[in-house]
Amino acid sequence: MNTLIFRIAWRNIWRNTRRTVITIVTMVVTVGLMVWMITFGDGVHEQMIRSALNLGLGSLQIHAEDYQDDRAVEKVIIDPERVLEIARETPGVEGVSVRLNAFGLISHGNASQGSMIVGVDPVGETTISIMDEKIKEGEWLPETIENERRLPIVIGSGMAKKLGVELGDRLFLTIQGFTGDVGYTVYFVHGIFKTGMGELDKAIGYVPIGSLREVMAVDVPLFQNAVHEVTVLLEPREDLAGAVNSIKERIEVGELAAGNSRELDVLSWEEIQPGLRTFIDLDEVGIYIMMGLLFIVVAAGIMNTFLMAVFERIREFGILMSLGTPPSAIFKLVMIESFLVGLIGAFAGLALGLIGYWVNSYYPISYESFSEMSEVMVMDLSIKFYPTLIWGNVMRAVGGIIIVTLLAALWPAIKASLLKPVEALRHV
Amino acid sequence: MTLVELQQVWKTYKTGKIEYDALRGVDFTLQEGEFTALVGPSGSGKTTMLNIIGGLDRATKGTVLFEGEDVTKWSATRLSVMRLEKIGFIFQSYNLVPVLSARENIELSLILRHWHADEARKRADELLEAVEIADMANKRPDEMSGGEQQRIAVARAIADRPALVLADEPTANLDTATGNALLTIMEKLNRDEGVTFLFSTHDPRVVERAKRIATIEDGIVLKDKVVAHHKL
Ligand SMILES: Nc1ncnc2c1ncn2[C@@H]1O[C@H](COP(=O)(O)OP(=O)(O)O)[C@@H](O)[C@H]1O
Ligand SMILES: [Mg+2]
Repeated sequence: MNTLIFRIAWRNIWRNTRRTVITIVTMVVTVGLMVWMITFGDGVHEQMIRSALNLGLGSLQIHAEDYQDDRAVEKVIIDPERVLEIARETPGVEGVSVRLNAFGLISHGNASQGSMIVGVDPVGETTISIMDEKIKEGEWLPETIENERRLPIVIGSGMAKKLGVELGDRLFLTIQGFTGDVGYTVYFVHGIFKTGMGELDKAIGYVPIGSLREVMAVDVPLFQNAVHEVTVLLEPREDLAGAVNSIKERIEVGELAAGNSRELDVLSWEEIQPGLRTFIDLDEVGIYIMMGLLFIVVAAGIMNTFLMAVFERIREFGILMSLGTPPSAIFKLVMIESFLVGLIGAFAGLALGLIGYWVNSYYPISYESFSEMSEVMVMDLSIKFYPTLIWGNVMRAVGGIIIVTLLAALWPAIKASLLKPVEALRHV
Repeated sequence: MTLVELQQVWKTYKTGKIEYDALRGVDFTLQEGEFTALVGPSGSGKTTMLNIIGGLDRATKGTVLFEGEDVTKWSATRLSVMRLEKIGFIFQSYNLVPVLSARENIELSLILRHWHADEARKRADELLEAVEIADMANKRPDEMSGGEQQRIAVARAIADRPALVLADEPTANLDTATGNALLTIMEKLNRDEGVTFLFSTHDPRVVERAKRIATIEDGIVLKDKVVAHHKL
């Protein structure tokens, strides 16, 4: 209509300054809290993902068809060379490496531990995981094996404790081969890592991929180059789905060297580790339910305020109506007022939330006291949590409060527009 | 031209179970250019009648014609459009918009009538001069005296040159001098700009200045006389 209507709306808002301030403060605190909660939640989730990705999961993995279903040892990529090339050419790639996974028993003396034995490329692995940084004693796998009689293995602190071994100790491994036969080999403890995650620290051993393949592929020359995974780590926040699709396309177009008898699967970490995705999704749902409840409480308060404001001004609406203001314009006036209040509340709230975010990025929160939870969770909880600002998510709180304000004002606005002019004018 | 025609208009107020007939079959016509007083004691139905003519209220029974059109069944929105385009109100208790300054109150009535902001402002200033309180332009209603507020109300009512100005006891809350001054302004607008006025009153000094006097009692318009000493 005109700025004059806005002026009326604006001045009316400040007519009962105390009430308006209380309303706005409520909104600001609510939105501020939500914004901070969202950045904190997003930060935790991002770090959870990053932590899982960096501890070996990678952003995506290429497997032989259906390997993910049962992790059957014979489902291998027979010739990974071309796959590796394609993977390296994916935009946003941080690192690529290959792995061979075997199940076995690691024994030392009378003690033994069922374990996953992961054959890795010692150098490639450091580009996709931070296991090498988690070494607490000894060293990560060497680039080349100097002494074929002293094959190196890196195990977790949990396993080391369970088996009672130290650096340099000899471990006896019983490993299931590709054909189902069982092979035996000996490794020497070269390094001990500690991730803080119980499962990982207790039941994984890393060995050079060639040494593992030898044990697994006795008498099967076809499997000379076999791997189970080509694992790709993308730079943080790179387009995961895009990367998966581009690799899929190139593989399907038949760029693969002949010799791979199976089709290949390209799986994002979400498909490989759906539990983590589900956990994060549920956690987000939790945040949004809480936001919804907060919104309802705030909405009730706002509605009450606006009803009061409308009631106090019935006579004024009567005046406007006597001037010929149509009911629709009266409705608009109340909605504009609520929109202005919503706008102030939302953006002041956003500012408060961003301050919270900013302070939180300097003083990250540690879950150390909950670290026993890390036993069940796929991440290391001893780390400090930094918030992450994702505008799209933060604006949900901002947009939400504006919508809630408008919804809460709907009833008061309708009531005002339905006033009968004479009765409104007679109102004191 | 006949501006307003009431035919057997009844108004029944219901308060709980009690019904009260405020208007009991009013017949009344108003021509363009009139300066007419509606006179009657308190409670006789003056306000009710003005409200019905102005489309602020609805008749319970009977017909209300405005410029020949039957407005009795019009929707709230259509009535608001009629008020917007044709009618200006002046109330006993001024009824200015409290959050707006004197000038803005006048501007508002023009803006609502789709005037351009610049022109509305010019017209408002012109009217502030006409009602002789240009120095009050930026004051809010609560900073003005009753007489000043009522001048603004008059300026607001006539701003867009409405076909009809309905004034419900416009001088009742004003002292004699202020009331007289206000009437002088209204007369001038009637004479110079041809604005039609219908104003209720029970003040003899105000009645004196009307060109035509309609008398209402107990909800019925009794007498109707054109005052001779006025030259039309
Ligand atoms: N809303 C209402 N409800 C009930 N009675 C009313 C209402 N408005 C007016 N009345 C009654 O109708 C009669 C006429 O009122 P009104 O038109 O205000 O008279 P006047 O303006 O001449 O003093 C009075 O008796 C008054 O009490
Ligand atoms: Mg009255």
